[in-house]
Order: sequence, then structure tokens, then C-alpha cells
Amino acid sequence: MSLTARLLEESGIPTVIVGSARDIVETCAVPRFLFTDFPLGNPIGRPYDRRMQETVIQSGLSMLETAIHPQTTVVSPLVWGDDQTWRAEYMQILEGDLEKLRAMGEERRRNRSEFKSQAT
Amino acid sequence: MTHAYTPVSYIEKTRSYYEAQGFEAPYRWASHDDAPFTNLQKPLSESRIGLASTATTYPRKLLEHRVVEACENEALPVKLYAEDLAWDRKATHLNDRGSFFPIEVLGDFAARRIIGDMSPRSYFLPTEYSQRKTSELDARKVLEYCREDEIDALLLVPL
Repeated sequence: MSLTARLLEESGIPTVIVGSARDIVETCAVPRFLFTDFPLGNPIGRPYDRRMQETVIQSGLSMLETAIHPQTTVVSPLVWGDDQTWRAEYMQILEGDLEKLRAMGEERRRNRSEFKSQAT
Repeated sequence: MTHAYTPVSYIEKTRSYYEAQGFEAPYRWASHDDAPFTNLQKPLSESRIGLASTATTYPRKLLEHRVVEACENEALPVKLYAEDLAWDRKATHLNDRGSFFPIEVLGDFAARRIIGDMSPRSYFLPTEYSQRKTSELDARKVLEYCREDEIDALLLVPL
């Protein structure tokens, strides 16, 4: 998505990304980025929290008028909630899960290999 | 309310996770030192805004061929899908489309003249392993759709 923002901007269409994976978006380098520090999946705000979602979109769109140079990041001050355990728990690797993860990887490689052979 | 949490390092988490799954070469995320920039040519209140998402309008399988879609807003399904994408299934859910695809808020902003109007179509852009495919095919397709719809700016919301 960041690569698409870059192409559009090069082609004369301004863009703003609203997202929650700050390191990924900033590593790609984009013109305008509103960072919402939420779990991946709900970058616009908590489900059914229309007020929060409106605030986020207002902040993102306003960057189209306020940003004056590329790689402008605005950090939304909004907080997901009191429970912040998602930060540590997302893609967490526990000692007891290693065997399961290895098996998942093997299945994934097998599926990918079958998909590629079907596609060719 | 303000906070001072350290943002999650998704690049690092992804690298460790796939390493634990036995993938040998870590994914190399797109990386640039600078970015292009275009100013908005008219006030936001007069601008036509488009919306792009990494979700899909149909349930897509993990290894299914991924394509860019442009869908008339009036024909959009209430439920959008992202079962083939990486997001935090434990912390949240996608049952409220507005939490990742703010079409209703944009419509409301158009009615309140915060924006000029909305593009008649929204764009669904797959997350691709291949950066080459994204840059050379998918992004160009989105650009084509945006030009057809004569939008002034695009709001991109990756899950």
C-alpha cells in the first residue's frame, strides 16, 4: 500500500495513509502518514466507536492540507484502551509453541509449492 | 488523552515469527530514503476523495491469486474480508467495517462539506509478497482507476 501511495504521488495525486504498522510504513517512506497505535486490523479505531473513527479520519484528511513535505508522520494521540497486552501478544513466540510453529511453516511451504506448480 | 507506548516493531516480530516457522531468508520490506510529494490542488472541502483498502469484497483464500478491484460504493457489500491477511485476531475483529474501511464517515464528511465529495468507487488493493507486482502492476491499476474517477486525493488504509 505504501508503494502505491508513492506511485500516485509521483503521478500527481496526493495521498495519505492511515495505519498502525509504523515501522513498515516509515521504512518504505511515504508522503503523509497518520499513525494510529492500535492492534493491526482496526487502523481507523475501535469497532463501533464512531466518534473515535471520525476523529481519526478528520486527522488523516487534514494532513492533505497541513503537511508541507514528504515523509510527514502525525501520531494520533488516541489510545486503544486500558488493556495493552496486544503489543506483546501479537505474533508472540512461546517456548511451548515452537513445534507447532515449525509444523505451520512446513505446511505453508508445502501449500505454496503446490500453488506455484499449479500456476505454471 | 496522551500516551507514551513504544510502537510495536512489526518488522522484527514478522522476522522472528517466520524464522520460528523455518523460513530461512527473512522478508525484505520495501525501503526508501525519501518520498515523492504532491500538494493538494484545491481545498479539502472542494476535493474528491477516494478510499483504498487491503481488504477484499469477497472471501479470498490464503494462496488465491490476488487482484486489484474497483467497486462502486453503492454496490459494496456490508461485510469486507481479510482472512488471508496478517492482523491481530486475538485483540480485535473485523465485524465493524468502519474500523478499517471508513466509507460511512467519508460519506458523512461529504454531506457536511468537510470534503468536496467521494469517489464513486473504492479500490481494493491486495497485500503482495512481491514488491515488483505491487509497484508495476497493482499500483498502476489503482492509478488508472483514480484517474478514471477524477479523484483529487486518495486515503489509503492498510489493515
